[in-house]
Amino acid sequence: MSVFPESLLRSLDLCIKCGACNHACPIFISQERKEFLGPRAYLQIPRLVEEELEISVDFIEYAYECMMCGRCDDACPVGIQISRLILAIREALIDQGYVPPPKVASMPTKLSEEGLAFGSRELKAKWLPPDYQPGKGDTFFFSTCLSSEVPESAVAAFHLLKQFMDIETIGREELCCGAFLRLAGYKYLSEGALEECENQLSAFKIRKLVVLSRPCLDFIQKIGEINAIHVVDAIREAVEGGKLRFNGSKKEIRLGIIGYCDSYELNYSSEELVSQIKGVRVIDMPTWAACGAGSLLSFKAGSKGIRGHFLKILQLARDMKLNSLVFVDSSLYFIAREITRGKSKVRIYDVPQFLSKFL
Amino acid sequence: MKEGELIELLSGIVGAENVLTGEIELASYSYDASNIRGYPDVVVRPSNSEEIVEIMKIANETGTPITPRGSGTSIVGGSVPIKGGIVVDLLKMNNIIEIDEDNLLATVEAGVTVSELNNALEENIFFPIDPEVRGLSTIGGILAEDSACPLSTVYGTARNNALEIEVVLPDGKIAHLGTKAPSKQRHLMDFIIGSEGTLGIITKATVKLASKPEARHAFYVKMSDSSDAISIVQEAERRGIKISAFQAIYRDALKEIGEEISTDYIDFIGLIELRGDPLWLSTWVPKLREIITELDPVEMEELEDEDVKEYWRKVSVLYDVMKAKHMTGLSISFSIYRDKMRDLLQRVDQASMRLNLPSLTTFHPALGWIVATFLFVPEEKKESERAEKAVSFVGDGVSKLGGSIGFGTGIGVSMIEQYFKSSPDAVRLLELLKRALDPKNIMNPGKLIPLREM
Repeated sequence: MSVFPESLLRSLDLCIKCGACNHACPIFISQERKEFLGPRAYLQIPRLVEEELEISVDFIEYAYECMMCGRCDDACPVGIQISRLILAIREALIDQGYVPPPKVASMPTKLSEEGLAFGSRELKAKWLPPDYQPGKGDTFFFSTCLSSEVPESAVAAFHLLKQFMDIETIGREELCCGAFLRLAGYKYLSEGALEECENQLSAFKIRKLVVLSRPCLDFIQKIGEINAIHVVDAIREAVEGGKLRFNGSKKEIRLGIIGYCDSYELNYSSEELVSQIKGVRVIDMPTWAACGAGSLLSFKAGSKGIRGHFLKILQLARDMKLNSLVFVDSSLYFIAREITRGKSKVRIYDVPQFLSKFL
Repeated sequence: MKEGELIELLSGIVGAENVLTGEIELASYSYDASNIRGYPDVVVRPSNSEEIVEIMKIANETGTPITPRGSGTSIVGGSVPIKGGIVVDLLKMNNIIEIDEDNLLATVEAGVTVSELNNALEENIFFPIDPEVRGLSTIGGILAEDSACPLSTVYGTARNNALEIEVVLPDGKIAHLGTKAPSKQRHLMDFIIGSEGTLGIITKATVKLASKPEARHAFYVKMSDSSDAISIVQEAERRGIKISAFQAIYRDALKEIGEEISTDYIDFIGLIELRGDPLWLSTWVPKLREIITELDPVEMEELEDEDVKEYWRKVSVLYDVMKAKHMTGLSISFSIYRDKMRDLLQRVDQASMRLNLPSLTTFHPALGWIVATFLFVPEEKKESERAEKAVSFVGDGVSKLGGSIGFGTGIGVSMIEQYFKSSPDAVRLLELLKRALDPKNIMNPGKLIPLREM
């Protein structure tokens, strides 16, 4: 029986195997150019699995290596949307009942029990005061499932936002928007989650939403009525409008920014904000030192490529004698934090945490 | 030797993290840009020549096949391990050892890609051999296959741009061949370059760089007769105009994208480039314009400087898109003296018609180079057999008319029989050389040399 839908296989067969995608892929480059970590292998291997190999645990884990940064899509001379096909591979596996890696496989249960993709409501309540109750207002901070795992990011972001705007947050009861489920290949579950999330937001009569993390922002923007914005962009608007100011640093800070391959605005906003601070010297990073919307999902799935990619980025920062690395999104900061576990010589931040030091 | 022991020995050389044995890992080294397939037993990723020496010794002792691999861009199966064994992935060896801009020389490890080298150079110099016009191929791969590209009209093939190479021979000895100055030894280096990894693994090379031209001017033409392409080249030569590159896409290919370009009156689309000192170009451009106009092109467009680059990209993408419409293809690449080009283009047409397979052909009139690809659906066994027949039919024509099969791409697996038929004397000599250097036939077996019982 065929594992992958015929339409998917036909799209994969359009590949002319030129290898242009490989040399555009940040993970291929940082992981010493191993063929199986490049996009070309993703286009070839499903056909081999269909005809010669079997679906193995190795293959299922492999399907979660890609961080969906989209650079291969731009590089492909025949216009194959490679990252979309990789998502379709994950969907096909899940449709056929194959079990994804543990932290991905637990998502559906988490969603039905806790209304979250990962973490827990109990942890999610912890970054707010115990007696916190959302007030009335039409602007809310969307702390995302991440807030139960990186409370420091949520605290810093919310505190900064409070400096210049009236903003509330739902807190413990806030529902998952489904973004990570979508990236994991749970297409229908993610759509259901988004609907529930939409209902909750409209019950609170929310008009504007400031979102902590980019994968969730991408997904929430599908809800037409809500004006959603990334926390970094909200802070940049405030700084540009003169509503927020930061002090300078006494010591020089040599700092690198790690952004997304495909989100220029967020990268740009982060650089604008960080370089406002006196004493900060932003050092250019090579183009491969960047991430994708699916970086965190792949990290949770146990991807060796993502772990290796972050280790290479941290190594590079040491080689470049940087004091600090600022990640443009909390989901990326989270990966770096998990990998370094406080042992890194280079300090790591997301944008709100870094800025909070200079309030 | 058991596979486990081999893997242990290899891990001892390059470290376990650089020995790949997983199913997915091996599958990803079972293909290149051709339709040839073959699984390796193990992939090793060495970091330097010394490690390759040790790998080679083990392979030689155990009689294990070795297939060297760069970016995997071969269209003839050059980097596919069709006899299994060890794939030596050279992509980790990407150090640029020295750039000597005064003398226009660069010394690089084999795994450096053309674009990596070019990015490391000053703005006004470059390495001219770029087979797929995207800078993906490695210098090692280009030298092993003696690759050509549109600019080979001016710069020759890879061979003409190599001064020194380091090669690890099948007995595990390192040989340094060639010198920066013209030398007698060049002849020996030329045995290795173009031997497609059948005599050893090229690990380092010193290559010639070129100055970028100050000015570029190109004519993008659509013409109604392929003999016009030859006339342009002949007339330009007579009038002292040096064409730098001329690539044409033949009408068989244009048919495949019929909805985008009307092919009723068009035999080929061509891009003809002049590059050099602005002063020369100011006299050459009007002359070439006159030559082309006299031949009454269906359409003609002129481009300058950066726009020319854009059009090269456009032409190569056009070709790729056509290829992508089909499952796969079998290619034959050859050179022929240019007055016979038209005969061979017609032979491609005949093969395509008789065997009822679409074809995609590009040709380089100033270079006498033709690459024809016959397209087929891989599941249809009969179609792939017909594609082989088509290639064989064209190959016979190339031999009869005195052409050279494998020019620009190498022979690989795809053209091995054709090569044997067309150049029996050369193959016999290669065979003798192979037996002397590699008696156990470990180096890239199944490519270039159709070895009989050894």
